[in-house]
Amino acid sequence: MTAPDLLERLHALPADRQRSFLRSLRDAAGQYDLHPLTAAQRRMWLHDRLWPGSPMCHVHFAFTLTGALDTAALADAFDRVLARHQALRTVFVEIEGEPWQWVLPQAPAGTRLRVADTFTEVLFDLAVAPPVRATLVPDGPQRWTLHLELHHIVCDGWSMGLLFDDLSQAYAGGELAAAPRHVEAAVESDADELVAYWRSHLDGAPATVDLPTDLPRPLVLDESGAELTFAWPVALSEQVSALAASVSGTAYMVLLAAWQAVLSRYGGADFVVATPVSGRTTLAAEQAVGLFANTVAVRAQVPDGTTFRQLLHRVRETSLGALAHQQLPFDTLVDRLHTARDPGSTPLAQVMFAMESGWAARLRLPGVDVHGVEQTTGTAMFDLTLTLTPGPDGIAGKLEYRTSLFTADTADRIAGHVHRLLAAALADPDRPIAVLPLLDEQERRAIEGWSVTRPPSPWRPVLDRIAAIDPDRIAVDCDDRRTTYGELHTLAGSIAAAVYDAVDGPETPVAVWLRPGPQAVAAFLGVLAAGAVYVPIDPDLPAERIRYLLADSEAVLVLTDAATAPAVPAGPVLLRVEDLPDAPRPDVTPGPDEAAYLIYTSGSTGRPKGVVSTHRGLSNLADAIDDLLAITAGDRVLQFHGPGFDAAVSDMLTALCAGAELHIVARHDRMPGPDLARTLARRRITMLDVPPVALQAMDPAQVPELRVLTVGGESCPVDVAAAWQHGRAFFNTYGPTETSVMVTGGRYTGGPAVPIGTPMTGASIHVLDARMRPVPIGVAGELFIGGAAVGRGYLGRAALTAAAFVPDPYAAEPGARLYRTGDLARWRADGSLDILGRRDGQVKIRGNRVEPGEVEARLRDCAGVARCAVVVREDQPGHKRLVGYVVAQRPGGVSADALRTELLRDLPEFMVPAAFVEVADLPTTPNGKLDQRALPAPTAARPQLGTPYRAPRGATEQAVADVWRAVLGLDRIGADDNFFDLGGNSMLLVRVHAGLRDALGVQIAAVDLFRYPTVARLARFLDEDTAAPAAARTAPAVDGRAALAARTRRVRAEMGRR
Amino acid sequence: MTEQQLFRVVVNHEEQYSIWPADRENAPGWRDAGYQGTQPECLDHIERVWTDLRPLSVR
Repeated sequence: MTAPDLLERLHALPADRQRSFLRSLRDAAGQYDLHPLTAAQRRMWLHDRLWPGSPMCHVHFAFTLTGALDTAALADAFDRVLARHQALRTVFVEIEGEPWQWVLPQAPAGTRLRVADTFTEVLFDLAVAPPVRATLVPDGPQRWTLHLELHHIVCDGWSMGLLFDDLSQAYAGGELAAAPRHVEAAVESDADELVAYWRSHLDGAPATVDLPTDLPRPLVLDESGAELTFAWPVALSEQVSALAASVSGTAYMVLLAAWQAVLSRYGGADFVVATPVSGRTTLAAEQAVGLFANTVAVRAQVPDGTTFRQLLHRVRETSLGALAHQQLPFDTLVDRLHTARDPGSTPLAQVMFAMESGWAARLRLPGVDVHGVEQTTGTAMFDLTLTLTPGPDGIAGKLEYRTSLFTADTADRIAGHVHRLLAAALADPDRPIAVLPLLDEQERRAIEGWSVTRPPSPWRPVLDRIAAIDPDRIAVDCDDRRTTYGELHTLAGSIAAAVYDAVDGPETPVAVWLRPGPQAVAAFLGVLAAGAVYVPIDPDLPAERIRYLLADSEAVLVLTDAATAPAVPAGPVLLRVEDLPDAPRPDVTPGPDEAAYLIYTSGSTGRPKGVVSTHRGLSNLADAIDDLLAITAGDRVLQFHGPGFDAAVSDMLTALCAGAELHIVARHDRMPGPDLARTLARRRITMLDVPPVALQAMDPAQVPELRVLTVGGESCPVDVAAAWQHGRAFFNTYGPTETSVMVTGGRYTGGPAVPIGTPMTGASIHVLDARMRPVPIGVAGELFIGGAAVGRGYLGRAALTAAAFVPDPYAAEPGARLYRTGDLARWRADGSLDILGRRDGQVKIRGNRVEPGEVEARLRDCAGVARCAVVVREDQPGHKRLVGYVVAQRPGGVSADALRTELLRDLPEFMVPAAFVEVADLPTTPNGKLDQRALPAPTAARPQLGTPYRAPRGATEQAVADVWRAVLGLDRIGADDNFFDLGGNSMLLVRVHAGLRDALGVQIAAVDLFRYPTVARLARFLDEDTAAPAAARTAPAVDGRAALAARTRRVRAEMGRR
Repeated sequence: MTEQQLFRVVVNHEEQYSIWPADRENAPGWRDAGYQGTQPECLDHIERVWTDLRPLSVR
């Protein structure tokens, strides 16, 4: 019985009989020509199993044939080709879970060339017939289309050349000798020395390469793809050959070097590019159709300063090394390296480079004009595959791209970058790659146009704006005490007069040490109007920190009231705002470049640094907010941010420059969660600015009157933006303190990403590389800010200022400065911006800017600490926290609550690590840096506390402890343990609130959670109070205020820093 | 930027100091302050010579 007959018989059998039939074939594998699959074939086979219906492995060439075609001769020629090559007669069957290739002695009838009226692409079923098909469709007189389809499991690029050669030769009447058996010629090896070579070649290579993607990477790879084709002139290919010859290399090496150079400019000094190798290392292999090609992973290392010629030498070396070790199948390599598999990207390499010969040009039929192209499959094997085909007419190119990541426009720009960089590199191969041009005129102009949206308006002092508002309107509503614009202006004028009299000349720093309220607002305005510098002091800061701020700012005058005056240390002159006589505003107008306010931010060297902002910046901020948000006199704005944060300044400006009401409430009434929601609803707030994390604990439906919502300070999760944008204007904003609070903003109305918008009025934004040149669209660079928003610098710190405020080569006015933010950003194709992270270690904890170095410096000073490190960890997605690692002077000699208490004397709560881990030593990398990855995650064990463990008793204590355990992620909680000593914070308190509501059915005000911070105390409060109505419980008792004050010093819910 | 990269100390019309890559032409409105070195060297120099951080026009 012939093999095709066997195939027919097999298909006629019911499924269970097919299985036993196949087993019997396999048991006589030699007799029936059954063979195991090569690793490359196995990959194709698996792909078909995992992605049924995927056209990725479907190879399809379409030829237009015009002229005197002999169709019978063509069919006969094709038969002879099928007879010559074993691979074209092979089916792939599964026997007991293993794939086998079964070589049939003759091709079954179905694979022969057929003539058909129409053509429809149909994917192959590898088990049914050899995956080969030829279809000839008549298109008119003397005109046909020939479709040749194969599955990639039986062919590769080289095979197509052979196949077209053979078909041409057979059609012309030539003889075809039997080809070598491909199942024997395909040589693969997993020899140890090959694995060792690749392991060492790829050692330490990053798992992914940075690409200028348009869309967020899907969690699971999507194989949809598209292709862009282009052509480069012949002069370029001649130059490529010349440069190749000069280094004893090949055109392939020059073109791969160009691709690597472009990818390095997209953000990687070290990455991996996949490239196909023929796999045909013997004469037999060179003559057989079949899947011999393999993929190798070529490492690219392009350190700063590398010239194109240097890279070319390196490419030559790595390419030759790859060729010498090409027998190791790619998939075997991936398995052996135990590469971390991310279902969202291809392992080892996400980009490919291929150089092809023009296979389709190899089909030549006498008397017939043949024109053929390979059809696209609509898939992409890699994120990007650059395929170049040098020919007599120049270089034909195609760029295959994953459509779930890239748009056609971006693919087009990428191809343009390669062309431009290559042309420049060929003109002068000894230039550093970093300076070679990428951008064309169109892209450069687009980026230039995006950098400024609206120039600054003429400068106008803030108090003048407020003076122009109807004096009878309500300006400030604080605890239901209302202050009109007229009253505010008068009070500000009196304060200005008193300050003006008390200080000696312009730019004198004046500390404002007041609880939020109308007087604090008037003090802000009054200090500005007096030409002094506003230095806000948050009364809830630790006393040590306040002392530092007063000393560093050299504030000679402190504005206080009866409540805060007693705390002020000796030294500065005190001015109590409630005692001031009415006096007219002094006749002084500070200039636009004079200092207006001083805000302290975390400093990496261990001490906070004072940022000096100008009147111009403040005035511009008012315009920028007005242009972005269009707040009206009918709006009600909540003062969300606490004093001392620059966002508190923008809260005031947002309301007051628009003639709106500024609502000020006690701190516990703006705790994110139920308290804030209640405040927003009760006061019918229409405009709010918060860090996005504050929104996670609230329900948008509870605040229907909130009309305008801005978030900033940290990246905004898409689900938060999506949930809050309904029925209101939702803006994501961005800006560091150094450039007056906010410099970009954009309304979010849906979509998979939440960009930070476009430049706001008066700010110019640049995304630059290390040489301060614009990076292409979509490529990460450092964000620089210019224009009216740029502040003066850091108080008394010349070097720090000079390093961060640099010459602006792009400004129209000479001598301008740019602030370098340290933030990594990129332009999106629509001209908006994405923030991607930080260049340095700075982190955001609940919206606040924190330099771990500052926390580390304080922790090192704590009793019992020998050495330490502070790092940010995200062990639970979305929950970033600081963790302190401590090497104790005496093992076991430090306790978490002691460290916490000591740090809270100096630092605001958000800067105090949520967990401490005692380690024997700090792990280091080979070059002596802290090896963050080697630091253990904080365990779920109850930290070592000063309080001994006492098991919770009774149902209520047990229930409270259960809720805490879940929220804090600890395995055990004692009845006398303090929530905050266990690493709790105000955001986690919101989750405790929800947990207790679910577990016990009680609504507890956040203030009560502060008042009763241990399991036992909270349980006792709940038990005693069960009979009382909920409203009674939420009102803090008078004696509770002292406890609250003590507590809030430790537990600060400040979310203000942008 | 590498540790070895050279910078120049530059100054603008407001006598504000900064640093600039030595191999690049100055940005408009900035002139050399007469010091060249690595980044830390230039910043140390600035820390010594730039004693009044107010712009010239508001001193």
